Amino acid sequence: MNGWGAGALGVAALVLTGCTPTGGTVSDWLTGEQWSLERVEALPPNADPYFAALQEGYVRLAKDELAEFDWDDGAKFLAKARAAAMTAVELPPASVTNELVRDALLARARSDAARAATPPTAPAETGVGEPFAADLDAAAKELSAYVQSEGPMLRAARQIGEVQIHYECWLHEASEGDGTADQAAEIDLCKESYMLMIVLIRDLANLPEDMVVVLPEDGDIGGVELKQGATTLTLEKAFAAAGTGEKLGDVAATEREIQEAFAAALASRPPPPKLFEVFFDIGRTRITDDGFEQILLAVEDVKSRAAAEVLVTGFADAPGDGSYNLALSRTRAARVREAIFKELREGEVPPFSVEAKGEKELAIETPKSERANRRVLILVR
Amino acid sequence: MLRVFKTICVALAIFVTAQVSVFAADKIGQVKVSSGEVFVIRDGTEIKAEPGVEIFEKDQIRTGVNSAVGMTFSDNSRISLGPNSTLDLESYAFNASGKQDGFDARLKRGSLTAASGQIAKTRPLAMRVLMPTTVLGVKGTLFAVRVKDPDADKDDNKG
Repeated sequence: MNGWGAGALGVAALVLTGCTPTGGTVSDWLTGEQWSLERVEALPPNADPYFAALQEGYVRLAKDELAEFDWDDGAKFLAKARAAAMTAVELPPASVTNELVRDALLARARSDAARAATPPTAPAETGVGEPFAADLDAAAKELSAYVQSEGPMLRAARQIGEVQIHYECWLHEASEGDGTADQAAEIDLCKESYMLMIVLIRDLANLPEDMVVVLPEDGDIGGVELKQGATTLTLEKAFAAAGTGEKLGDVAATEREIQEAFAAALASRPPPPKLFEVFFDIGRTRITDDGFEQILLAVEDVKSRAAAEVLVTGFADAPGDGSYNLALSRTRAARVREAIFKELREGEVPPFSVEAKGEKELAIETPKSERANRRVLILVR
Repeated sequence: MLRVFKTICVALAIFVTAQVSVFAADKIGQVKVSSGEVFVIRDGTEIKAEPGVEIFEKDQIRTGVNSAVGMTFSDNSRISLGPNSTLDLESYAFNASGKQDGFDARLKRGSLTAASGQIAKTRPLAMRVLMPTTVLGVKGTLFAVRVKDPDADKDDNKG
């Protein structure tokens, strides 16, 4: 277990001890520390939006209880607020300059933190009777799923923290249920707040149904430009995503979510086209040993593909007459085509296109003799 | 003399046409990967989209439940569709005489992944994916798009 994990467990334990009426240390109890609203309120807000929302929310719940002279429950919520304030989300060290790595680390730290935090308590253990138990149980399951999911925590950490407070308020009032009308009204208030907010969270937490995402690749990422009316949004990093429904806007998405959302399309991507180059001696059309090696590689590639196509393009370097060079490049291309043909059995021959460019479209722009320009390109796709 | 000239002209025209048709005037791509129910709809006719099936400008590509398709186009761009997807290949021009390179594909519903090719390389933003409310211009090269099925609103309450 890493240091952070141990810390998180410690915090979880702290939060849990807060659940008992005698929460806090003996000295806290002796000094009345456990009821010190001022001290808890003075704690700086947690840098993580989920824990910051919990911190604020528990302070509010504690205030309500203390105002009703419910010292046990007041102390319980204060202890929870203190734990939420002190949960450290380890930020990646400044030396990690790669933004992608930083983002990934931050996402993981948050999700670890969320998992270590108190999951909404199962109502079965709190003595909640009908008719609330089933509703609370369903709410606890949905909420736990969000708290433990990387993507929703990335997109709606603060709101998930806020709705968890509504849930705990609802659970608390329901477990205190004494059947009075006042009590019933308080339960309903917390429950309604929860129900209103969870609808918003469902929208925020799930990936938008209309969306665009840039996929990772080797080399430079150009990205995409999105336009909706007068709004323009550019995405130019791997896994940068945007919702493209009624309103265009950035959205955070995890790699795993993208892999899942586009699994079928990703699995059906055709293999990228491949290019092979065959070089020739000055004025010659004979295929060299090196050239033949390239041809064999191209043939293997053709065989490995479903419905392969082959484009063969001949070139010549600049010295010499233009029409002579065009003819030379055409013969080179024909020789290569013939050589590929010979290596394939009848059923394996793909559609061929053969083109001759002569001394046009040189690989290296030079009027001089240049090996790189005396070539045939084999494109297999 | 005029007659001879005319004959030469005709011969030349045939020759030029023949040269062009080596690259099949309208074929813009080919199906490479296909699973499940995949169809190319051309002039109202459904063609089962198996590997090797040719694709033309104005074709519509449609996938069913548990289906997917992958296509490679003449500019080396590639597009694959996930299940329940409809893609209209509205316009496509690559090295076509008298036309600027461009590629417009409209994703009406479903999911798509794409790798741009020569068109986007030589003319940034000339390859576009059109969505119901948004237009995507490609700078390069890999991206994915999904569009909610407009007819699937009824079972939208699953959260």
